[in-house]
Amino acid sequence: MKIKIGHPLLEPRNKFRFTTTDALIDTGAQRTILAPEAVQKVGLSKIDETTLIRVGGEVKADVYAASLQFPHSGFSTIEMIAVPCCELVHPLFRCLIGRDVLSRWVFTYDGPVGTWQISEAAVSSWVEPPEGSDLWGE
Amino acid sequence: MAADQQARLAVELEYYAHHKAEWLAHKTGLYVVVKDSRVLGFYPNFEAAYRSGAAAYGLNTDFLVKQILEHEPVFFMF
Repeated sequence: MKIKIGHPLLEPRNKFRFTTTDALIDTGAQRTILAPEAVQKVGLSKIDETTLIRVGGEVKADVYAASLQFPHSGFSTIEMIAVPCCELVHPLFRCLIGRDVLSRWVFTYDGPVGTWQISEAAVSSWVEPPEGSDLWGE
Repeated sequence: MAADQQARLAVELEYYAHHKAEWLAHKTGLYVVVKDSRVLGFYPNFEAAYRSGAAAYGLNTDFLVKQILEHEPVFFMF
């Protein structure tokens, strides 16, 4: 899904850079993760460091303050969130959406059909076509 | 983590490490905001802490926003 990453949205509305990129929903990730390229593009401010445990071991990660928007989905903007940053293996994705963001939604995965659906209170559901059809053009 | 990134907030993280035991006694669970070697304040949640930091220092600068916990959290990514 598309995601728009920027500085936290505070009043009065700040005029900072944003970047829009593809994000991968990762139900196995406790936290949403940004790739260094996304952080650098926006120029996010560092607010902490943390430890991530991923396949292959433990990594130290910087934590940045960000806002997350979900273009064309109608889902509520996350105006302020702490997001760790580390290298992401897949070059197509600059963001993993983890359970800290998913916990705000109802996420339903239909395994046999191969579709998933996200809904948010007062927002109509967004249904994704079967896995792979949009990514690989099949 | 790249070396230049590691240098960012080095002073603040060292200050936090130095005072953590003292803060754990009465401020466990609160969020502290630190810039250089100065505490801006203690806050009940991340949002309040970040807003105060941004109001004091601006959005375009680094400052530490850290929850005071005995054990530093680790996050699983698989």
